[in-house]
Amino acid sequence: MNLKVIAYVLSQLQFAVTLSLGVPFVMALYWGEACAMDFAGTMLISLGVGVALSNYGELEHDSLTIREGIAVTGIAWFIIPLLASLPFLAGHYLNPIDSIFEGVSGLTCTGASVIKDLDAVPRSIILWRSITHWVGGLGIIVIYIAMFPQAGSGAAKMFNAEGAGPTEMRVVPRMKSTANALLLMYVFFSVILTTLLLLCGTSLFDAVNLAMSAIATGGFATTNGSAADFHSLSVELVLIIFMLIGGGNFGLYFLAYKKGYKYIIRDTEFRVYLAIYGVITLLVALNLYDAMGWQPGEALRGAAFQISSIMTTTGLSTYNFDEWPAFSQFCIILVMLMGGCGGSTSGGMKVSRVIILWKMVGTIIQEKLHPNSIARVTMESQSQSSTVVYRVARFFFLYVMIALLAACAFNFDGLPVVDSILLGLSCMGNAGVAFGAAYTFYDLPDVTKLVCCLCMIIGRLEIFTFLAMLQPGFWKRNSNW
Amino acid sequence: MRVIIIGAGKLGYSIAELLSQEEYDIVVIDKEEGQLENIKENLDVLTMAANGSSPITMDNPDVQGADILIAVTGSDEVNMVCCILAKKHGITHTVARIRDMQFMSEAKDYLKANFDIDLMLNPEYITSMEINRILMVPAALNVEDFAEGRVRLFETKVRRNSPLAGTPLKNLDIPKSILAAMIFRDHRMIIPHGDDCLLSHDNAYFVGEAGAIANFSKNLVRSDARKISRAVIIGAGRAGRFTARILDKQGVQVKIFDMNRERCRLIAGTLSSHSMAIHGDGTNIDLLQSEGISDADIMICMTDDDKLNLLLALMGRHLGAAKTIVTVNRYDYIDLMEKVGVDIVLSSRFLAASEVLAFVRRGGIVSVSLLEGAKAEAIEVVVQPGAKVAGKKLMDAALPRECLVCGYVRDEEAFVPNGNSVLNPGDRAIIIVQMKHSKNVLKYFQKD
Amino acid sequence: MNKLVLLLMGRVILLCGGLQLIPFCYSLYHGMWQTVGAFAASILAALLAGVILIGRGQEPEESLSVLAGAGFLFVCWWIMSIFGGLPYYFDGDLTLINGIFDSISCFTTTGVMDLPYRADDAIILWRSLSQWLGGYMVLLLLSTVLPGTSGCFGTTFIMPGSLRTGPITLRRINRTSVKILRIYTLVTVLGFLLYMLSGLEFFDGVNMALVTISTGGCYTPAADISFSGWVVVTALLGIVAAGCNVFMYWQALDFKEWRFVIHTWKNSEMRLFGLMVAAFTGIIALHLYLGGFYSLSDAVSNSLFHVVSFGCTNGIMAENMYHWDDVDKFFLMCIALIGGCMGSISGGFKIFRLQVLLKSSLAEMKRTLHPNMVVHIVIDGRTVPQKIIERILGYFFMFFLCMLFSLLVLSLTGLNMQQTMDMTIACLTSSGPMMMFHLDAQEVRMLPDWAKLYCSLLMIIGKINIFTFLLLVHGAWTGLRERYW
Repeated sequence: MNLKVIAYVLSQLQFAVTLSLGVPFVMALYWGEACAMDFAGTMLISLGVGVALSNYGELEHDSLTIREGIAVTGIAWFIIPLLASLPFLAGHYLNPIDSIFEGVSGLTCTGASVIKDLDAVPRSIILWRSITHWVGGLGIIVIYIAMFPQAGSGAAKMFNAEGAGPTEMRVVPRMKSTANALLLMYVFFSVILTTLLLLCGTSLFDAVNLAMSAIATGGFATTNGSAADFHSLSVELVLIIFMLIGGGNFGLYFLAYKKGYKYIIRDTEFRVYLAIYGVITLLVALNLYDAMGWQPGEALRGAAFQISSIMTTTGLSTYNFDEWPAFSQFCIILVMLMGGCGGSTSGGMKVSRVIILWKMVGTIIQEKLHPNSIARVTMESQSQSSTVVYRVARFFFLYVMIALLAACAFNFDGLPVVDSILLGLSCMGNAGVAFGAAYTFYDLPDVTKLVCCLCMIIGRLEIFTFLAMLQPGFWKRNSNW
Repeated sequence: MRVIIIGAGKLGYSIAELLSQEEYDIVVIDKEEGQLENIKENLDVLTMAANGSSPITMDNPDVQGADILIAVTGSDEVNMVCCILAKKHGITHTVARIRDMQFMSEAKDYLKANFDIDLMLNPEYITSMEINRILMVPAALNVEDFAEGRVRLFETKVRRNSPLAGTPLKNLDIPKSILAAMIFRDHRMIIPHGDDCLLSHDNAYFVGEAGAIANFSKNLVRSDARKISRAVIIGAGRAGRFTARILDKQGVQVKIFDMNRERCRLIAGTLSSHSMAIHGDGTNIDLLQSEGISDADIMICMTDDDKLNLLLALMGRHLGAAKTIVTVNRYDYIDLMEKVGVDIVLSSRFLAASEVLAFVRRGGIVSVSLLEGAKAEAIEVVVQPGAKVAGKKLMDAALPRECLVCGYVRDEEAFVPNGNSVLNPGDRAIIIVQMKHSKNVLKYFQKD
Repeated sequence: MNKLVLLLMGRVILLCGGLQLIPFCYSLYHGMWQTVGAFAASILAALLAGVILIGRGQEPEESLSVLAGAGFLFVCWWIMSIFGGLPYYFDGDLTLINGIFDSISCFTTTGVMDLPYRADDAIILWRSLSQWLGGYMVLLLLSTVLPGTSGCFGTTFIMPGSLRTGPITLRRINRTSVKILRIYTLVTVLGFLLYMLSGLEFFDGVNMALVTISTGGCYTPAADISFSGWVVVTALLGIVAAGCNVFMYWQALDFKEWRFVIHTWKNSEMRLFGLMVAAFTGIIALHLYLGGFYSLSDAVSNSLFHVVSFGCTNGIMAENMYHWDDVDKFFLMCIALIGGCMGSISGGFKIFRLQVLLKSSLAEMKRTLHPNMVVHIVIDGRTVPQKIIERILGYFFMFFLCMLFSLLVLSLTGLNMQQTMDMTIACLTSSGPMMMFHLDAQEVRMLPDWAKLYCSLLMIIGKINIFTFLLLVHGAWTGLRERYW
């Protein structure tokens, strides 16, 4: 494993991060806020790290090995959240652990905030949070590939390491074009959402931040009450639609844009995604109407927003669903586990994996009843090899196990059982919601917060990447063995 | 002496070829006429189209009463039946090919006792053991052990900047207990004398007491050459699997590639955690590179296809593997391959045939190793009482020029002889001799 | 209707009725006339039904097909519970649904709760007996019918060769049932003797033996078990014995080799079980001690008892357990979910499957770096075939899905999340008393009827494993489709 190449790539990423820090810095100056100095300081540190890395590193050969790709992705996703937390720390808004939590939560698009009172925080800090969402949503790696010229075939390894769903999805032949395409759709939707929100009557500041948060399916809001503070049906509708878009496969959108809209309609995963959304929303709405006695319209509105928010692992909320009946809460757990489509900005298991697992059960039944037949799982009329299918099954197992282990840790730390299970699942799926005692994250004990951060990163990197780095033989310098 | 060979496949052909050069009476039996065509045309043997495992064949006057029966058909069970029948019809010694590894490792003695098989041949097993032996001595191209390991023959390539090249042998700093036994240069076998020099690109053979050879070989090894720790094996057939297991047990990190998933699974089940089985095409350069072929100490190509093996070895060399070994079926290509750049070429048929040859020769011969594509042999032979060479000084025994006595073992101790040494009956002598003179030379060591 | 299934069903009913003779005689002896009447009525009903069914099932087919096997597995619990629940219905003031609920909980060795109304000793004895019978049925089905229908999820891996293959014939069922009965009765009698030795009274001893060996766990002894050390030890032994692979005993008896029992130390599944028990005991004991509930030694012994009890999905509890913290209950829930050893009466996910999953997933990690590598898993020196690994992965998904679905369904009864979770997991892992962690016995009684029926279904699924149920559903679905569409 070539450390120099890794250092070089990391340095490039650092420079990109420095650039993105520039935006809140400029805005802070514009608004005349004191935290501009904090941003300046952070930019300097980030620049320093970047320069140090680029001095050490050199691009010896164009292609990265799998190991190097994983190492780059893994290290990047540790260093950059740390840097992202510096502005919070520097301005003394949060203590160190809380800053790290906020930084990680931002970049992994979880959206769990430990800031007690958003009104007391300068706007540039709020802007910075949303920017971390936006950058982390599509993926640090993807943006890097799109923007920097010499990506090469090593890029594919990094792209896969960052987590893009169960199978490698390429829309156009070259990696760089794929990354470009994704970035294009991403920017396009962000801009449209901003304009629409403006039309609905929000301020420019709110529109930009909410748009970044919704498209990246992150969940940081600009006010303490999250999306509820707007009290506007149109805002909620717009947000629902764009959150659902954010939970869809961006590659698919690009494909539809190039080759026709029928591709979206034909895509099984997308159809299942919308169908599940529709069914669960109706069930929850019925439950709210029935058990809590809400009006039908209100129930539908509340259910639609909340389910779309959680299914796409965004985390914006309009009601305090802590008070909702158990059935709805279990529905929430269900969709949180499922997540959005593969290739989207949301987290969770991803709908395509769930479909594969479901079909796998079908093949097992088939093989049992007709022992001589060979049943295969097919997605989009392409049969999936059994290695892929069972890798997905193992992923599911590890996902649940890690969430449960985290839940045990939380429980031991003092959280009630149901809350800790939900917190564990929520962090793994980068949803950013929690029930009960964890509803407001800032009250959580410190160890719990740190474990949460770890889970968020593991979930974002889709487990295997992270676990691969833990293997003892991984960091051996000389060999590719 | 009459030898019956049952099974005219490739191994049968090789054995028939080797034995017929020794001027034995050979009968080759096979069920299919077609298989015998090739043998009939090229070899000086008698062929018979018959079922070797049938008593009727055994009653045939040509077969009955032969000295040795060698059963090398494709089926282990048929071979075993042939041997039983043979013994019942008065054939004195039997050899059978047994492919099943489990028989070889677990039921060896049982088979020997109950099926009357005197020698069990397992070409894959032999090849794997050979590879293992060679690999565990870093500088060697070939290593043979004699006298239960007391005397060792060691072949090495003389490199350009080797300390051995260019100096006359008598001035070289070689320990007393080691002899420079043979030089193979430009396809010719040279028995060196004191004035001869070792030139670069020679294959030099040293024979001597095992411990001394071990030290000597260590000195020849380049300072940065290390013991094998990473091996790549391409081809997970029987031989490949067995080799992987042997190497893996000794702590080598083995990566074995095969295109067939089932075979990968078979071997994966027996490897320890530092080795792995990879399902993929060995000719895929990307795959080899991503799995770190450039860090491999040795690349062993053991697929069924000789040409593929050669290609893989060359590719492996090019990508950075330190040493390459190729196993082939036809030993005609061995020379050519070594010239092209493969470090070591082994033919399983060849190795199996040597075992058979040694067995057939008997009369005090303990083992035979064929060298350099059957151009020369290293023979360990027990000096019989009354032999021409017994009791006389070597320089008086008038041994032919084409042979060299490189060592002898007396009373469990190994010695390197010079012109004044005397061989007594009961000593085990290790001689290197050119193939065509071997029968002649052996007469000197056997009873008149 | 499959004749073999009818025959077997008839036999099961007769067995049920036959066993009821014991409490019948007991109540006759003690002169409890109401119970006598109840039992008499239910025995007659069982006789009638049994004879009719056996009559219908004459000249049965050779063997059970996969679907027929699955059907029998499913149906036999229902009929056992109905005929076994008749005494409760005839005797006391339990409604039919409640009677069935209680009865199923006994027969599936879940052991949910104590009857809140005044119950005669005979009824209590019958409850323990039905748990015992349920445990026997589990073992019997495990060794005969289950391998053919859904054994590929690991059961066939741990079974001795003679039981593994071949069609499910009547002859085999007959032979195996006798053998298993012998082993089972032997262990129960041993347990009973040990209890008597440790000082319990006769009635208590009998019931405790029946209830611990069958992993039912539904019995509150007159004596307070938490004060008597020997009883605790005996209970522990009994529970552990029930949590071990029954095929071990089978082989020991078959080959008269007691080495097999010693071999348990080497069995990696047992070692993992021991490790987990130790770990969980440690965690819970620590928490109890630090939380000030008990002194150190009390904490350890209490937590050990409960960890083992829930680990083998028995569920028998000491009275003071209800006051424990949520943390401890959560860990107990976890170990109940993990379950006991493969091939035992206990429920849960089974340790063997967890072993395979863990090893398989960790091996998968290596494949991130070497995508073409072929991985293999070895347990106790035997390679686990790819097919079994794949099936177990699928089973995990099915188990989880079933749990999630049941959570959704049961939450409609109006309970909060914690209680719903308790109920679902209690039913699915057949460790019933878990339901009482956050609920009162009264509240359980108040649940709507459909919820109780659904819980009964869950308990059965917990015993026959979710795949059998899916097979049935699929079979029924395709059958209906063929007939009507």
